[in-house]
Amino acid sequence: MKTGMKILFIFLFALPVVAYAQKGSINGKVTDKNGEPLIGVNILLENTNIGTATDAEGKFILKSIPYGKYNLIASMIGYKKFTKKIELNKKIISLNIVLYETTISFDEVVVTAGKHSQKISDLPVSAAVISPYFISKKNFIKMDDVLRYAPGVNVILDQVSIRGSSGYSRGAGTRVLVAIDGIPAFTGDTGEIIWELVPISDLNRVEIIKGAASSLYGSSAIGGVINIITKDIPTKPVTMIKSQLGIYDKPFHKEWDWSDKYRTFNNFTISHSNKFGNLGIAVSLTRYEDMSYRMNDWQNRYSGYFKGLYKFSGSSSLSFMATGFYRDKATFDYWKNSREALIPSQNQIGNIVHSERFLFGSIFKNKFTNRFNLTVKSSLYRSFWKDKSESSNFSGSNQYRIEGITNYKVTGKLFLVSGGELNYGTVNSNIFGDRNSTAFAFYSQAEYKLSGHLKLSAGARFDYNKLHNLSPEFSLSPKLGANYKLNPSTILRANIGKGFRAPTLAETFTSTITSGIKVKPNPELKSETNYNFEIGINKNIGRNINLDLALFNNEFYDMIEPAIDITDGQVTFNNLTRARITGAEIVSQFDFPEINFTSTVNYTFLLTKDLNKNKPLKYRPKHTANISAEYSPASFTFGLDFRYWSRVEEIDMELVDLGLVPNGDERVPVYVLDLRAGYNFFSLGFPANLFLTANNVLNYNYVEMIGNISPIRNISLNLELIF
Amino acid sequence: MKNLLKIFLIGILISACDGGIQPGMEEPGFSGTIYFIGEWPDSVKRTHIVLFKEPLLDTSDFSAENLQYVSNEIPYGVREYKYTTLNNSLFGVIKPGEYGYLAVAQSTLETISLKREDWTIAGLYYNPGDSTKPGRLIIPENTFLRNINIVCDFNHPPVQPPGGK
Repeated sequence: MKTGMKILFIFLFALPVVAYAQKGSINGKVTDKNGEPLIGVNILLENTNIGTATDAEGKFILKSIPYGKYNLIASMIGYKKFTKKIELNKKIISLNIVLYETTISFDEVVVTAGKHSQKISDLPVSAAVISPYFISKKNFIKMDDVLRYAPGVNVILDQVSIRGSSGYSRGAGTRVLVAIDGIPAFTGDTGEIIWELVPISDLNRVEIIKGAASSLYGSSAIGGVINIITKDIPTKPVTMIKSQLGIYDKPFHKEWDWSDKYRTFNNFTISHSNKFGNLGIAVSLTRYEDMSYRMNDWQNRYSGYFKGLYKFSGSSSLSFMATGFYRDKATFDYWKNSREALIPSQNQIGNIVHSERFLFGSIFKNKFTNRFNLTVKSSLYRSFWKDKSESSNFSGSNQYRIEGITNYKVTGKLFLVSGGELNYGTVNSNIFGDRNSTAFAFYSQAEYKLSGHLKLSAGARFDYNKLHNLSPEFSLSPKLGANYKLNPSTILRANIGKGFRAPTLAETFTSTITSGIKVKPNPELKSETNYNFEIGINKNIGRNINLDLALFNNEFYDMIEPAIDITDGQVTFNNLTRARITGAEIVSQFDFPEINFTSTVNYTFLLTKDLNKNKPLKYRPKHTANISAEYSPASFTFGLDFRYWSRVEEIDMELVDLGLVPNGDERVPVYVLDLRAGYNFFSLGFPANLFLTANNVLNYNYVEMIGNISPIRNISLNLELIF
Repeated sequence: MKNLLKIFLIGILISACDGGIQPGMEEPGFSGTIYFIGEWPDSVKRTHIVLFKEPLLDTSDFSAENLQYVSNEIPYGVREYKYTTLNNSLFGVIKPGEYGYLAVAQSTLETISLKREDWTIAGLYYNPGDSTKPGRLIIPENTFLRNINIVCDFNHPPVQPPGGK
């Protein structure tokens, strides 16, 4: 491995190309329509790797630019993109740029989840983008809380599902691939997503690709991809202090009031970014404490994030990212019963899990020519957790990964994305055993502009997966897509493809007892596959309204689900289900800048069926809706967000019938209303934002997972200082 | 737009004004203490509280259909064991109704078996004042019974149901 790393480093450092030509600089300031500086605006010279982001005063500078003609692009989620042709023929060019607010403009947003930058309006699949400003305004602390507000996305406790792809599998495996800057972030043992790893204060945007993306991402992307893009490093030093304090209200029912005091939570983050010549760094440290509204559910977490970027030249760069945390968290698996819904059963009290998770990644980019570039991504995900309870269960895992991606513009009409990936994982655990896993893959996708209006894409990925000493599995995941611009305001899209997901070490080898439930291994477990199809239409109605409609169908084969073996009462993962998920989704955005009003209304209909049992799949609500509205007069922001789920039809009734979760069948439709207000002090010359959020203001009691009341009414105040 | 917003807010308030999930009624079940007298047999590997719907009058009554509830294991060697059927189930859920046989059963096997011959009854629940025959347990709706105590006297085991070794 060490020799391999040496070769890689020699390779990386040997590539930079140094250009000797006359050079100049482009600097400027970006403000909004009120003259307030915009921080973190992406500044890019089109068709180059030259770019930066604005600092705390909205200023930017691009240095050492060879003389020539460029297209300068200034973009930020929530604002209309600015483009200007520039001829750099002197030492310094200065610009003052004004960006105008908009809702997420379908045509302008660029996503990289397709392993190269594409306009969202050019994709053959449904996609959504969440801006970091939504995260700040809502005082979110964890990424999974953010995703609950994205169209077509459901989160059950901390397991994410796109368009019903997943139910709840107790942390084992995921049908959504989550990546940070394109680096997959799932643990080597359970294959789960640890949301606390996401540096939520350092995000540029969150891209959500719906539907199977195995043709590019392989296993785990069977239900979609969530690509979390971190902030670019600004040209000037920026320091941010973010302090958040929150309090839970008393429970709606007096019977549930188990604590004689109000429960609180707080979060403190300090971050700094700076540039030293060609080197840029960003670092942040966060401490989070949550007493929780439930007994034996508290947590303390210390997390850190570092990003370094070194630009060898305008066409070559190496970035390094490290994110991780230490956490102690008490265990609340299920309530005692519905009369004492905020108290766990006796056998959980005092149980604590200590966890340490770290993701290290490096990304090398080199643009060999205007038509060909190479990206090499390598990463190590190190994970360790240990039960501080009688069971003393523990698991440590290392997941090593390296991927090479090439982007090749063959002609003006043909674009190729190709790559290869190698994964190796080791696990040392008393419940999974001492195991290892090996996987490699090759993929290629071609995008062809048939005419000015029609864009076709076709691709496939070959995957090899081997778990420890079991027989290897092979999978081929092809995909076809089309995007047709019917007229300037209407876009049609369609795609069909195959996805797959290999079982994780945890699903295959787990042998443990948790909360009285015995889990046994199943070495016979094999990969699940799906065939998915989607058609969609996107239409701009006037300048203010964008509508998107999608119809989709997913056919799952050998779906891996946990189930109870009736011969011994033990839980095991099996290839149980032949399933079908059919649905429709409407996403609408309303943007009225003249009255400072924006709104989004989303609705997803899901018809899921376990074709073996002729019943709906577990934990999939048939109807899901999200409504957000925001009014932003001057420096104020007022908003409301509403979430609705219809009552989930199927749950883990086995756990209820066996008496493991008393009253576990108690469940209701979900109605969650959040209110928020904010004030931007920049107009007063003070570099601060203040946000007040009231979540679940109706103090409505619901469960996402049986025996787990979701957060009750809570209020939080968030102060951001940026200087 | 304002009217739409009003309708929307009123709709939410009406839908959510019941507060969602309500605290449940008292869950049916029972609790008590099991007293162990004498030396525990060395051969015992597992001990459970078992509840049958009908009395064990025939070997065939010792069946999965008749068996309604099995508690988690009682630790080996204890002299006294306080139990509750809440959050303490290896198998089954206590439902309101009448039950014909409540006992403490012991097995010499490490694994769970449903064969009658693998089990010995160490103690039996009797109705107050009548230790001549197994007691009947009546659990009304939304009622949790307390003081359902059982004595296991290893020196004087109760009459064994048919089909034992």
